[in-house]
Amino acid sequence: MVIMVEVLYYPGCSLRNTYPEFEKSTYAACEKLGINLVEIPEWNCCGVVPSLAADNVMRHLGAVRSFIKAQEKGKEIGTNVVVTLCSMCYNVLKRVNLILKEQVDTLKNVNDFIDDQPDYVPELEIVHFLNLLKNVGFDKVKERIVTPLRGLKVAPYYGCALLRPDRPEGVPIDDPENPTVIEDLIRSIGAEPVEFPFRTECCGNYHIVFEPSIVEMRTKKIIGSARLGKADVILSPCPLCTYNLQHGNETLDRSEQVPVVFFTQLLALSLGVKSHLSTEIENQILKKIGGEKFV
Amino acid sequence: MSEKKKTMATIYIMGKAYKVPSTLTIMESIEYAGYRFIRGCGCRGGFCGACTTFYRIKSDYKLYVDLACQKRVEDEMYIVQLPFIPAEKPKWDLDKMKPTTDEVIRVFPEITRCLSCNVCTEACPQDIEVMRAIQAIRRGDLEDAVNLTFDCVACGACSIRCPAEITHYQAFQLARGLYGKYRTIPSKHLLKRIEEIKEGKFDDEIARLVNTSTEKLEEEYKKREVEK
Amino acid sequence: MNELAERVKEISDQNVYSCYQCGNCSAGCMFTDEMDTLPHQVITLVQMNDKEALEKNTSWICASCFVCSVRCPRGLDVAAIMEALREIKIRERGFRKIDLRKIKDIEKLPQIAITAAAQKFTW
Repeated sequence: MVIMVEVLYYPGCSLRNTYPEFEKSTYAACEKLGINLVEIPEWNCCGVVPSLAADNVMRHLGAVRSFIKAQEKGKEIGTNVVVTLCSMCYNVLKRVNLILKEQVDTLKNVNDFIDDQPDYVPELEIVHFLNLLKNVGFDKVKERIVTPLRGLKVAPYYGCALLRPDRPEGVPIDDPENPTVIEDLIRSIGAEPVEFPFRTECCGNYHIVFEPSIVEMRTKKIIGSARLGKADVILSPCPLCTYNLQHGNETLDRSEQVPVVFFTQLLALSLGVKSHLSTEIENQILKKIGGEKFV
Repeated sequence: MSEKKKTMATIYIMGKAYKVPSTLTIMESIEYAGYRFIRGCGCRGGFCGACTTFYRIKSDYKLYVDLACQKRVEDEMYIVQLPFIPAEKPKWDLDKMKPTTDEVIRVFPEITRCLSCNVCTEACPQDIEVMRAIQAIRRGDLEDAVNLTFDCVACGACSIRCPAEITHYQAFQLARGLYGKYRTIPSKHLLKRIEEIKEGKFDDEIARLVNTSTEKLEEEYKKREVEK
Repeated sequence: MNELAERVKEISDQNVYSCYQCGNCSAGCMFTDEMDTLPHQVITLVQMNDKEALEKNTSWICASCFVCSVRCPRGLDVAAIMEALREIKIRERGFRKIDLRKIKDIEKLPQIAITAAAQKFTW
C-alpha cells in the first residue's frame, strides 16, 4: 500500500526561516504518500539567483559544496536524486549541475578550487517536488486523498524559475509556454484549476528589496488575473513569489485580495494531514468545499 | 660542556631580512630583531586575538595566517602584522531581539553575499569551521553557529580575507549573545553572586583593597594561596 | 567584433551579432514600462560599440525572468547579455549599486529576498 521512495532533500534557507509551513506541510504529505526525504547534511545556501556569467565559477561554489555532501549521503542510502521544494533553489541547483555535466573545464576548475572536499562527480539528478509527484503518479496521489477539495477554485501560479530558461536543456519542469503539471496536481486533489493567463508571469523577483513598486505593479496584475478567473486561492511553488504576492495583496482592497498558499499545503489538507495553513484560510477552504461561499 | 649550535631561521619582517633562532615564536623573533611592540600584542597566550599575522613561505604561493604569539617561525618566512581589522561594531539591543538567525542577518545583511569559498576557514588560527558557522546562520541553525564559534578570539583574519566583506567575528558575537540570553539556562551560581554583590556583601572587602598601599598590596599578592 | 561586444561575449558567452532586431524579447518582457530603453535596442547599442548601453537602466530593471531568452528566434540568451552589462559595471573598481546596510523595511523582508538582491547587484 505504501510507496517507498527515498530521496535526498535540499531544504533551502527560506523554508527554515520565513516559511516553515511549506516544509512542514510537505513532511506531513510525504508521510502519507510514502516518500522519505533525507536531508543533505551541512548543505550550503544555493545563492537564490543563478550566475549567468560564463567566465567565473564563483557563484557555483555553494551549490557544488551541497552536491558533494549530497553525493556522500547518497552513497550511504543508495540514491542520486536530490529533491527541492523552493523553485529558486531548483533553478540554481539544476543549472549548476547541468553546466558541470556539460563543461569539463568548469568541473575541473571547481573541483581543484574546493581542495578540502572530495571531487564532485556530476551524477546527481536534481528534481523539483512537483516532478517527483508526477513520477510517483497523480493517480496514486488521488488514491490517497481523504478530503477532495471539490468546489475549490485554484489559480495555478508557476512563476519563472520552474519553467525558464530552456538552455541549458533540462531546466523547465514542463513546457515553458504551456505547462500543465500544477493543474494536474490540482485536479488530483479534487479542486478546479481556473483560467489564469498570468500564471507564468514574473512576480518581480529580487526587486522587492530596492524597487518594491516594480513588484507591486507585477503582482497586482497577477492577482487581478487570478481574481478574473474567480479563483479562491493562488497556489504558489516559490517562497519569494509567495512573499511578493502577499506584498501585492497588502496594496489591494480586501475585496480584491486573493490568498496565496503553498501547493503542498493544499495537498496536505486533501490528504487529511496537517496543512499548517492559517486557521482563517483553512476554515474558508473547508467552508467552500462544504458548499458555502468563499469570503 | 660545549654549547649546542642553535639553528637559525631567516625571516623577513615587512620585507627586511633577519636571522633569528628557529625555536622562537614570530612575536619573540620580532622582539629579538630589535622591535618593540606598542600595538598588535596583548595576552601573549593565544587568547586576545591582537597579534594576527599573515605570512608566506618562500616558493609557496599560499597565504597563511596565525597568531604571532603562538606560531613558531619557519625558515624563509615573509611576515606582516595586522594589529587591527577595520570594522565598526554595529549597535544592537539584545532586549529588543529574538533568538533567531534572521536577527543576525538583519544586523549583518552582507552575510547573504557569502559565496562558500571557504577562505575564512583556511585563515582561522583557532581551527574554527568559519564557513560552516556562517552557513549555519543562513540555514536557520543558531545553536550550531554558537557551538562552532566558542573558541573565536576575534582576531579578524577571516574578515580581512572574505570576498563578501563579512565581519564574521561580530556576527558570531551577536549570535552567542542572543543564544546566551534567551536559550541557555541561567547559571545559579552567577545569579546568586549578583544578588550578593547587590546586597553589599563585598563592599567592605573592596573598600579595604582600594585604601591599601601599593607596597602592601604587592606583599599580599605574593603571599596568596595559589603561590604556595 | 567591437570592444564592447567582445567584453559581453567574454562574460555571457553570447554573440550579440546574432541579433537581427526582431523585437520578440522586448515584446515578451514584462518590465519594459520601467525601462528607458527596450532590451533589443540596448543590444543594438552593443552592436555599435556604444558605451551608453551600460548607462541605460534596462539591465538594472531586468528581473532575470528569462522570457526573452526562451523566445529569441536566434537562440540568444538575452538575460545573460543583460547580466554581462550589469557585471561590466559591478566589476568596476569603486562602483556600488546598492547599500545592503540601508535596506528599507529589513525587519519584514525574508532572507531569500535579501540574498537574491545581494548576489545580483554586488560582486
